[in-house]
Amino acid sequence: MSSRYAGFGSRNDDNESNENFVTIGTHFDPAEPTNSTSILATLGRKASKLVDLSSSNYGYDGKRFHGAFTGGFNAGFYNTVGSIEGWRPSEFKSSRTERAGKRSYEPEDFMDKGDFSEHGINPKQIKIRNIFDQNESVTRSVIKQQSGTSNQRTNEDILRDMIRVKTLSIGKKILMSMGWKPGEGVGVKMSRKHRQKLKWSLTQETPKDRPPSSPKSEEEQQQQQQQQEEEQTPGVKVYGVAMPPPSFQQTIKKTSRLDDDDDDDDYDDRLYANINLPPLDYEVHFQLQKREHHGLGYKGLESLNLFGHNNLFVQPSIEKQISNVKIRGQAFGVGIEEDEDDKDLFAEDDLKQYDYELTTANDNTTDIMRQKTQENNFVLKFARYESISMSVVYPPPIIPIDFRIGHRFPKSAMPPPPPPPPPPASLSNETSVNEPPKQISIKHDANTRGLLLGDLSFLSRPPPNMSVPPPNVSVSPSSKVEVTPVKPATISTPSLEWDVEKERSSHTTPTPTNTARTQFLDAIKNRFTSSSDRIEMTERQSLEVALESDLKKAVSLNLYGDLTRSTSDWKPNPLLCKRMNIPNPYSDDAYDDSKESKKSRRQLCSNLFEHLFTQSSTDSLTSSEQSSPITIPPPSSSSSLISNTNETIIRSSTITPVIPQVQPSSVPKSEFAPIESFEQENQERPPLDFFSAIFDNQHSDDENADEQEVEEKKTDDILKPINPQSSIVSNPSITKPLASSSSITYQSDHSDSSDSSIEEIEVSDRSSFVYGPAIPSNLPSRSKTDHDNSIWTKLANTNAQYEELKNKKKHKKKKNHHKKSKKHHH
Amino acid sequence: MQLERKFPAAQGAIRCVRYNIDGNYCLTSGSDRTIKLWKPDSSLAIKTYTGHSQEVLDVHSSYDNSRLCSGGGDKRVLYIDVMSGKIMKKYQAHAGRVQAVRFNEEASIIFSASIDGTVKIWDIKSREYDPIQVLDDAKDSVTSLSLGNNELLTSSLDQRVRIYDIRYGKLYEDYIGHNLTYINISHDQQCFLVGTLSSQIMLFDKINGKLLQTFVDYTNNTYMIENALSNDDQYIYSGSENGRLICWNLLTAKQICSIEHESDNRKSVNTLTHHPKEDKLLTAQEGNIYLWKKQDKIEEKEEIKKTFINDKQINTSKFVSGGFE
Repeated sequence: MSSRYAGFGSRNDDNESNENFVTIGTHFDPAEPTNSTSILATLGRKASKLVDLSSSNYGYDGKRFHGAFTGGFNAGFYNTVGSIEGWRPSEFKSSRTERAGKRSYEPEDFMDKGDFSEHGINPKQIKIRNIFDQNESVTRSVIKQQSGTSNQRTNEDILRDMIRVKTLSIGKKILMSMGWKPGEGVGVKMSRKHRQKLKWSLTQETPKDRPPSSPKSEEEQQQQQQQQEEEQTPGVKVYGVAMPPPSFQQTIKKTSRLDDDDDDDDYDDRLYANINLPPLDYEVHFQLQKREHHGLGYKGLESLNLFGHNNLFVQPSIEKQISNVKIRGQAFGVGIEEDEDDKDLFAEDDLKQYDYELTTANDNTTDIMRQKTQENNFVLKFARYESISMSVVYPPPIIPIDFRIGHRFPKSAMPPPPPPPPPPASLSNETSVNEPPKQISIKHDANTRGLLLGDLSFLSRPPPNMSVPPPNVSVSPSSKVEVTPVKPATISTPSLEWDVEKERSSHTTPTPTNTARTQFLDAIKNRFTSSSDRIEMTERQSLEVALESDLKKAVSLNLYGDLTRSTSDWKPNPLLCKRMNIPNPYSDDAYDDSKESKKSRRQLCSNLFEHLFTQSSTDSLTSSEQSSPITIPPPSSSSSLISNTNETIIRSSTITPVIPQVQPSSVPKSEFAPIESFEQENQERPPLDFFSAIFDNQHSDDENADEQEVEEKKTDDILKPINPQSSIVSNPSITKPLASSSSITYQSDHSDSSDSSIEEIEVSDRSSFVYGPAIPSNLPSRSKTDHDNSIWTKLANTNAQYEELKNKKKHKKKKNHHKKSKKHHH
Repeated sequence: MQLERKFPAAQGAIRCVRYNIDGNYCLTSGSDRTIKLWKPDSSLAIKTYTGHSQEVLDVHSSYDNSRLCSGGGDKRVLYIDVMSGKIMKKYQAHAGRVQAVRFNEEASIIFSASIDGTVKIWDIKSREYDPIQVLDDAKDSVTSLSLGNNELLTSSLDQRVRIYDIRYGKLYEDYIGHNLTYINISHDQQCFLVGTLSSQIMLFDKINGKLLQTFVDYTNNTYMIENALSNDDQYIYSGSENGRLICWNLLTAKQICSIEHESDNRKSVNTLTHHPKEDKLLTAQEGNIYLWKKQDKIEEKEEIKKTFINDKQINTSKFVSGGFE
């Protein structure tokens, strides 16, 4: 068993007892202390123990070998395959609580413990990491020396000696063990001459007459060298990367052991004639001439790696697809019935293995270079730089003296060519002075140009009225001028279809923009003064100007203060005062919130979409509609808030009746009908539901006394709600009541027969829209008792009741408020 | 002033930097449409608020640090919950970009000034999305607003300062004669400081509109450069278009210092805010926030200051809560 742990402890005894034992690995030195002072030894022992334990625990007879197909030693849950327990599935573990948790499985999760053991797939044991090196030779020697001198070495010392940071790469190490010395090149040893040649070719300018690999006699070579030395005098220009100065080169040559002195070259040659020298340690860079016109570093398609393969000719092996399962070769997919026994199932057929060209096998290291040069089709020598592509600067063309800018056609030539390209800047001034009529000639519209060019395809039919110079008439500058004034006339006559359409569109499109503009103007109206009272305005303007100049004067004199300050009353919103914890300097009613009318924005929205419903411009309507919130006289009553709410409700109720349906002949068709009815619905429906639910049911059932009271009130109130409606109906035009919505007179006895039709419509509409509890059946009967057979008026009734109640409540609240405030004051 | 700390806000150009009520945190708004909450003493970014669709031009935090309001180039005024970053309200009635926003003391109202020439007042407590009042007295863009105890001051490009005195129900219009970019009311509520586009900051008496002091020697000709008063109203700070932070003595109008933010950056310093309690100042140049600290006590003339303040006392009618007496 211990043989498995080569190099670890408890090896000494065996070694000593039976010498002919086959040993694997290198032993520890006998001088090494075998007791527990050596940490590594103890570690090794511990590790061995662990492995022993595991094997004895899992396997019943120590170690069992099963799972022969997979090559594993252990199988099953806790290595239970083959044991009495057999195979036991893993316990069910609910993932309900940790469903959101990260569930990523490592391969280790599916591996048995045995797999981590020494013989498992993934052995886990204490190892020295890659960056450290167990330099045994060193340690041994050190230990030998040290142990002789002193026994006081601590464990750390030993450890430090044994494990040290790796300095040499394994490749270098192997090379060094093979006799390689740092500084030498790697490869087959070569003769000195060869080496020298190579060196010359690499380090210096090669003579032009001699290719690098051509064989030459020694004498010639020497001559060459001398030549080169002469060439290296400072006066000679060196192209490419400059060589270090000759003195430095000399030093280099002298220092390097293997390199040769030029002085005693003959002697050296004779001396080293039969000695093979290691190759040069040069990293050969091939500088290739750039022949294509791609950018630097461009490599074409092959480097793009489009399909995941580096080389398209290489078969995509399964290994690449399934990186974990390393199945290769043709065996994958070969069935039993195929009787191809002679085939090597695990052989890989790779196109790389085939030759694509007939080449002779190269035998020498220099041939690598030659091959390279052949491949890249260049000669390894330095060439004098010649400017290959100088940017050729062409002189500007000589303009003939009699050249005149702008073409002059002979009189017979008909179609005027497009205007010549703008002349050079230096000459542009002259042309503008000399030939003004030419610029006018450019002004063609599409039709004239098309006619002139003979292209009539874009016209639906040739315009009859278009007065275009007939083809035969000479187009002199004067005649060209005629073309342009004619153009408007052709458009004014609506002969062409698109002309008519254009005209129509120009008439129709402004309407939405107009309304938008009026909106905008309304919004910024206060920024401007109306131009109607011009005298007043000018007076005011002059006043303002005077004031402004006064202010400026004051400022220029630095007289800030009374002169520059102007005081005016400003009424803060009561709510603002409340929020700022400041008592309102004015009475709450004094604040006129007509400016910040709450409906303004909504109205703007509705008006923005108004053009969808309009087909003809209805300016008077829109203006009256827009101005209605502004023209409402400021509330004079004591309770401004209430009056406001009243206003809005009354206003809406005035609009509500769908009059055009009743009297389509008398009333101009109003495009607001859809919007208005929608609005009305929105505002009317809640009271209906609300009151039908509350008043009708409960009052009739529960409280009779109250009902009487309510009815009494109703008799008073009936007048109120009916009237706005009836007044509108009586009025043929809708604009008047809208504008004077507040000045509605109470005309009591206006029960129109035409109302019924509306009612019916309304009822039918309403029935589908009713939400909440259904209207009770006793409703109509009750209304009949009120001598009013319309639901509509009843609705208005309830509405009025609601308002009344509201008012009452508010009054109460107000009273309370007053009381409170009074108390507060006191 | 000594540079204590400098850190990048990483939100484009910083449009405004504001201390919160106690000076522990600050808010910055950037041109990348975000608002960031910082702890400037440790340059810790706490939260980023989004919601504007264009650059955010001004931001203000409520007295209890629970809400923010902000206005930006998208003409919107946002009311944001600080903890969650949710947009509680979005007011959209301005016709131009919103230059300045301000809570009132109880954070129940937002004032917003816009280049459409109006100041709009929004009631946060109600569910209405219309302003409760629109102050459209300005004849040109309103560039900034400042809130006193019971008045609202606005500066406008029609060269006027407007003081809306809510307590008296009066509007005072002071003609200044220069294009006004920034207004700041002093902490004692007696005077206001106006930044102009003529490279001078002017200090006016709020009560009678008299010019008290002019601070010069800095450049402000094109941008809206903010100014600040120190917490004890002794010094006046301002950015400058040549990348400097400038400090004046309020009484003598002498320039105490003029520090370059960066030796190689002369971009304008548009925004700054003074710590409400300590002698600290936050400025922003381009994308960086700078925290300055007053290095040493510059000799002060305490007496003069006091007399100056005493002179300004005027006999206003006494106001008792619940009404006038």
